[in-house]
Amino acid sequence: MRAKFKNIKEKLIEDLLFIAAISSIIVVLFIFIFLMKEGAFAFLENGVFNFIFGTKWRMETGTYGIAPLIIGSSLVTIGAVGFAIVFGIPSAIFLSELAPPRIGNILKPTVELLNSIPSIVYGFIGVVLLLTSLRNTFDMIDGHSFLAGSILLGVMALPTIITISDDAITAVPKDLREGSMALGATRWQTIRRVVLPSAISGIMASILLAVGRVLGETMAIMLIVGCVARVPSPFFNFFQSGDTMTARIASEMGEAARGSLQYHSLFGIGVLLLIIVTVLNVIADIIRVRIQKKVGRE
Amino acid sequence: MKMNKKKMIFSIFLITILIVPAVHSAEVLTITGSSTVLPVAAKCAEVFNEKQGDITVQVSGGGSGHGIEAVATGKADIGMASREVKDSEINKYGDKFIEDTIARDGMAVVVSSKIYKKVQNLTKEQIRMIFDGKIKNWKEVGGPDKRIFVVVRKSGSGTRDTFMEAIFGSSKAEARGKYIETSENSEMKTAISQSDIAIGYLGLGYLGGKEVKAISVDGVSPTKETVKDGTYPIARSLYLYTWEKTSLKEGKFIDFILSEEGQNIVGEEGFVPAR
Repeated sequence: MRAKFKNIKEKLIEDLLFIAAISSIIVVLFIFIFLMKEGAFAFLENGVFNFIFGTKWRMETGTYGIAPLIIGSSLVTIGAVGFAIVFGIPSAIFLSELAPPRIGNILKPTVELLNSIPSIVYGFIGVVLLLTSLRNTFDMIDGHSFLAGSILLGVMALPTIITISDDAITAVPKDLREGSMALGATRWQTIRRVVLPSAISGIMASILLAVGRVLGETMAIMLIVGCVARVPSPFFNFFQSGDTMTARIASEMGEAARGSLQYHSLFGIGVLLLIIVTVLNVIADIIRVRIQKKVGRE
Repeated sequence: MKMNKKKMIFSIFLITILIVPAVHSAEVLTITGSSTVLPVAAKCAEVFNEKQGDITVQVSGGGSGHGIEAVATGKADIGMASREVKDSEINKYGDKFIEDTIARDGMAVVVSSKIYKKVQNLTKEQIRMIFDGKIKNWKEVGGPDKRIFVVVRKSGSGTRDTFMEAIFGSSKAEARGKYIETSENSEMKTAISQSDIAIGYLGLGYLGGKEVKAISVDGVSPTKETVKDGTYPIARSLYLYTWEKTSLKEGKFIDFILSEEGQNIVGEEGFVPAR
């Protein structure tokens, strides 16, 4: 009897753990279903082609085309991640390979602190400092632009790239380095030819996480990108104002009447964002697996 | 400790039975609608509720359209609106709206102070051309040889609707010359004050400060007097609507807003008193 009771208890605990484990999958599934349900109408009513490639988003006339938003999000993401790579990866190399412990002990927590600053605070700083200095430096109508968004979001993505790349580089086994040095390679040669190739999967992961972070950022970008849904001319012009997918959802959701075409179109943007992020994640996984096979770790 | 807990529960119970009837014994007057009128109505309701105990006024927002619908369908006693009731709404609900104008509101066209040194007056046509992107340089309207930075409000803003209605003739028109869209009057003001080539529009209550200057439109400067008598072209009235017959409690509150005390509150909130 007692043994049977114990069995049931065991089983119960197992089941509970299983439910806890799959709950996150269920939540993701429900988010997918809910978004699709609310967003599908936008694709049907606007027409898939007109919705994705339409260059005008105007509530007044009921035309909803999100091409300007897709271009805007892409420009900001490319700019910001580029900025974060240029500044982030060298500083990760410095932190893990070159920095004396005393400096590393100060630098690392500072970088992590950068991560915990709320995005609205970044937005304020951007409006007050970044916009003014851009306006004075370049021949622009105003500082509000993709460039401003790229720089600000680049700073916000820095800690993601630095901390994860730093961990990846530090995790490279010591004997690899020592082997390389023993063969007569200089420190720089060792870093470039031995350490970085071994850590590349971690570095790629950090970059893709940064892409996710930049793509999803809303508050800060809303304050400095200008919020004008218009395709820049030429379409890669970083010096013009524009809008991103997330900022458009945030600025119009409060006004949109439930059930209206505008409401569904905003959900349509959400669907597209979710698809993009999912595809990115899948690509990231494939890259990670491939590289790990090639480098021969694990 | 246990005693304390019992005492606390007992006192909460006591307070509840004392307060709940007190709230319910007063008649409730519900007001909903335009977010532009909301601060005025809310402030008036606060003072009004303190002054007497018979009527409790509850104010909520939701937009002019919502206010008009709510008052016509009986969901609220009074509807607030920052525009007149439309023909389409009269067709839908019937012509039983009773209108009271409680305030006037003007949109000032504002420019950066550096531009103001040379440009102090624009015609409605010039303003339309600037916001439509047809005029792109300040020198075309007598200013310095600088490009024009056009700031507008996001769609859904009543200020934007009034401005577009007055300048473009329709609140659905598109200001093609816009460079950025802002969510609030204060954000608009910040953007203009940080630039030296900007133009935008603000509610009268948001004027002031050195960096942002209001220009004249068709030779009329935006002041309380010109907005009140209707000579300044970019202005609107703020309304309270009741349905069919204004009841006693509705009348009491509207009378309060139109009294000297109520109209002072209107002025304090940045609008021009109607009386």
